[in-house]
Amino acid sequence: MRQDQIERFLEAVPGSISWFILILISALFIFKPIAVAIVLIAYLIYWLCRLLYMSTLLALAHRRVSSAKNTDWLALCRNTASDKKFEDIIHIVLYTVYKEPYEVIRGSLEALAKVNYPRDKIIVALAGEGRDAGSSAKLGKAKEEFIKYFRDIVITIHPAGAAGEIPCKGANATFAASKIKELLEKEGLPLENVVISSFDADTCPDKDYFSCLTYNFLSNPKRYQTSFQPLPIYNNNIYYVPAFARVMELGSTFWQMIESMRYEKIITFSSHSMSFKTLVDVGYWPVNLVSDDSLIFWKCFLHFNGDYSTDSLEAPVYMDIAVGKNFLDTIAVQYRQKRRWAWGVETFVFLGMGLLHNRNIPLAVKIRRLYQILDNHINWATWSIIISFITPLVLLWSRFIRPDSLIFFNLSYINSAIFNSLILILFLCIFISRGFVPPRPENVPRRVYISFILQWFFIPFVSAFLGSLPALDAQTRLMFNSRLGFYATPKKRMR
Amino acid sequence: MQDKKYLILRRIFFWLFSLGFIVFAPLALFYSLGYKFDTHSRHFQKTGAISIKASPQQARIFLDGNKISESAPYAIRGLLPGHYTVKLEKEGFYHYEIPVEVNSSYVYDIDIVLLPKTANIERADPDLKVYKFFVVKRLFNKKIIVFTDDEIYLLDEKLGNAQKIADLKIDPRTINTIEGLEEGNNQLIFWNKRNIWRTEVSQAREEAGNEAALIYSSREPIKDVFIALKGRYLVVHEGIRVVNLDIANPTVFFPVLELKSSFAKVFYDSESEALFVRDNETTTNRQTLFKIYLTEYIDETRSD
Repeated sequence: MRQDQIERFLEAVPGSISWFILILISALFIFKPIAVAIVLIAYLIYWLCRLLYMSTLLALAHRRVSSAKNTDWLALCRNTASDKKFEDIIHIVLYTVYKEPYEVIRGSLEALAKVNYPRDKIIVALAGEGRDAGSSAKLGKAKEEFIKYFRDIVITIHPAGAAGEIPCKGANATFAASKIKELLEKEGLPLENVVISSFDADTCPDKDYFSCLTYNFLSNPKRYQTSFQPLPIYNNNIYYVPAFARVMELGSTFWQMIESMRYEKIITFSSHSMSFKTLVDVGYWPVNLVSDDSLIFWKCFLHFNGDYSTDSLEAPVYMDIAVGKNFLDTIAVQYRQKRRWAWGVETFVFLGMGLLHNRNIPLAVKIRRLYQILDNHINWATWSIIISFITPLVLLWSRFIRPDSLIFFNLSYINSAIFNSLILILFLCIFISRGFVPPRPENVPRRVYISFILQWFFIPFVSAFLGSLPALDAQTRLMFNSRLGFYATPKKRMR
Repeated sequence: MQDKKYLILRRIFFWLFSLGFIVFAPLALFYSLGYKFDTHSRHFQKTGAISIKASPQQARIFLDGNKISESAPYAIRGLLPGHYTVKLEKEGFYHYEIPVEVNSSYVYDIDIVLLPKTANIERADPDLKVYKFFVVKRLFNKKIIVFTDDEIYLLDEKLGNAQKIADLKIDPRTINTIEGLEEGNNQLIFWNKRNIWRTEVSQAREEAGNEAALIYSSREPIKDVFIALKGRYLVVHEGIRVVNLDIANPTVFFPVLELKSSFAKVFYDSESEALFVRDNETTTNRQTLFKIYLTEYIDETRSD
């Protein structure tokens, strides 16, 4: 079998399985209704157990993050026993910018200027795109305003249309990182002592982020085989976005919290940090693929023959909730953003091809890691469609075709019992989300808090329309080789 | 150290919920399919259920005389196949009682509105155990025909002066399925989807010997029945055909017409002794109205 044929086969696997599951359930209902009732009862109970387990992980993660809140990370950095000196560590903070308004960059740099960390150890890299006409002026203005706070601010403009690249964040970040490498070498700074944080333009680090990151970097004996993942909290503009968008992004934060408890499974997502040396060794981010944030983890995983992991940091970063010009546009923006995230299914192909050529990773690890990606993406694309749409439709239709069937009668009973028990999980979500809500701005009325509670009841609809559908869309496109370009989520900071 | 503690906790919860699924899923599936472990026979037995919805909801529910719930909706699960009686009671309302046959893997659905006892409501005198009733134009100056579990009564408009008109030896569950009734020429015809019964009626009180008898069984669902041609024939609209039945000799029946649509409607006019039929037209398939003179038809059929 030729390489391109294997690649096409791997591209078709996730979408085929998701569609097979959905079509099988629908077809079974037509031809074997009792069988579908049995399948749905087992599936609902499976999901109840899985959701309860994930809620437990969420509660544990919340406890872990809360208990670390008052930690003096800087003192820990200075006192930790390590083969590296705290004073030698240099941070590169790489902001990739494309069409984000100046206010967004300014807000992020303001937050960065306030971190509880020696700022003479921070070099900011503002990576603009040649395709963005006003890029140079915008970044120049930012440099002028913020240069006094940091060791240096480096501006790079990534030229458009380089051979072998697609227009994506990874290409811009790679171009900037290679320029920074030249700069570091010129200044005689060893790459082993440099930590790079790849941030979106709207990422505002917590004041303890760099001290927490540095402590984890120093204290980790496998620091060059580890990525560092902060908890992304989408709350910069939380008071100014529709309720459904808040639910979606808080859901993403919760998902990352749950992932942070699965130490052996967690991979990098969105804004993250890692050793600059490792980044150079693995050849930077992929320049021809969309999901650079997770692909860099798998690149490192292959490079180190499976001996690579992600450390979840207790300090968060704060980001914007994707928002459009109006309510409908926000739905469209959210949909496209989630589809881009779901396009992370391409990592299955990337890893599959990489593992094929790697003889040093044990077969069990290969299977487990591929299954991990498949399991995540297939459940993402199917579960809320099955629970929020297919099950209610089956129950409704069974009232006409099998009104006196005991199993459909009991399916309805189990379905409502499960939905009632999910209210417990909703309360947990409401409780935990309180900690992620920043102080209310003066121009926002107090009644907004009512919608902060009621928003959680949108979950069944939101998770299907903006959870499963974009994921199914992405998998279907990959299945039919219809490539998804990089979608730069519009960012807007309201005050 | 801290991470190790979380790892142990995570593993405990993982196995706890996995075990929960392994144990609970098969139990829920067995239960949903109606299986129940019978401690006496030490075997699994297939059961059925009764679903009860009532308005008002605060009605006490009894199963075979035992109170099982203070309110509806309520589902009685795990019932072995067999006959049960469900009764609903609420102060200020007439109670409702229904015999139910429970089959394994099936749900018997009861959805009823309890009738309130208000000042404007008169109750049948004597208090009859009513399974089915019909209001007719006039029969011996009375208006209401009532089916109890073993008799048919005629009542006046004030639900009094009950007059028994026939004995009824039909299963009460079958009585509940009666859909229509026709009276004329001192006879009463009533039917459900499959059967037609007939009894003679007379004005004399407490007439002895009248008993409803099954005169016709159909393979197709019976939609309408008319007493026609001065009480000598029955016109039966069943499935997609109309047949004529000789009442004096019900084993003799002959088809009147084949209908094109199962949604066709048949009406008998006793004055013109004709059938009005709304059915699809042969060529255009458009619904239209036909008139068929029964007298001519019967004469033709007879002469054949």
